[in-house]
Amino acid sequence: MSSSYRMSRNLEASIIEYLETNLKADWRGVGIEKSFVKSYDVPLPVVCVRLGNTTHEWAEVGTTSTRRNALILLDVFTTSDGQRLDLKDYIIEKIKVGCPYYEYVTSNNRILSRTANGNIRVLSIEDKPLNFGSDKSELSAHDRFRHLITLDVSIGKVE
Amino acid sequence: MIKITVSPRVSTALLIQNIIDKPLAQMAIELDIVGKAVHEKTKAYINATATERRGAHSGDLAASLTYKFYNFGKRMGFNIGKVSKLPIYWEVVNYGGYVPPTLVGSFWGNSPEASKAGNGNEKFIPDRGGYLMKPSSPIRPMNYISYGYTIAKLLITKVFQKQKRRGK
Repeated sequence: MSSSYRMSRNLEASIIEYLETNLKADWRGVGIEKSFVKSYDVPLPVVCVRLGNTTHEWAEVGTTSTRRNALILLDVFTTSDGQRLDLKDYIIEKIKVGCPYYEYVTSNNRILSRTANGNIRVLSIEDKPLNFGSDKSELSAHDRFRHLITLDVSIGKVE
Repeated sequence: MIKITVSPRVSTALLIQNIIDKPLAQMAIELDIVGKAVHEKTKAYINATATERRGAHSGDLAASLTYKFYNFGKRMGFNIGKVSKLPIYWEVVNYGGYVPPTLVGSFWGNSPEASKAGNGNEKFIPDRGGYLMKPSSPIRPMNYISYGYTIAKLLITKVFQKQKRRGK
């Protein structure tokens, strides 16, 4: 039996697909993960894409229609400081122009089809290196050269 | 940690109007209310997420979040949390990851138990005479700073909308 993703999963999956396609074309061996914990089980470099908090604001007075803004958190795990800076700049360059928003139909955890339905607009970007303040040799390999990119995104639809 | 600054565009007309009916002073009051709400909501979020994950929490992280409002006329805002006053684990709880692998300590004097990994609710206390702690899985990020920003943005937008309506 098939089922459709709702908006949050569509948003997350669309960004993953967009980044995966670009990274495959321009980089070698950069993995993409959806689960933070699983990111630690795959070889570096890896980018973890997660949906964070979402806000729903009333679209107009007198109705219950809302517009959503979602936070997308991109954890970039790399093998060196140089790679961290290059990879985060590459991701920002690609993502700042936005990407297609797809609606996915799945069955048994496999994507059966997807339909483009608008664009994901990036409203703001913030990026920062994560330095846990400890001696890098004391940290796990994944935590040594980490960067966090936070995106505020919207698909501009009234729900 | 969470730092919000608002710089209203101040014209001479607005400054004069401010003497008459004090819109900037009103805005400062509203911004302070927003700041306090963000402060409380962030603390509640930290405690709720910790309880959801571990069944209990010490409350130390949420309790260490300070709140400070400032108003210099053209610049006003609020700061939530001061790094020097936060517990050392604030970063790893917010961003997720492994704690340094060579951590020695105990759970109230007891050794770590593999069967309770990730499910226990006791506090780990670093102690030289304790046990070697080797975490088997990373700490999942709580992203409470992002949560605070999201709430702040939402509430501040409402203050601006109110301000705009007043100006009409």
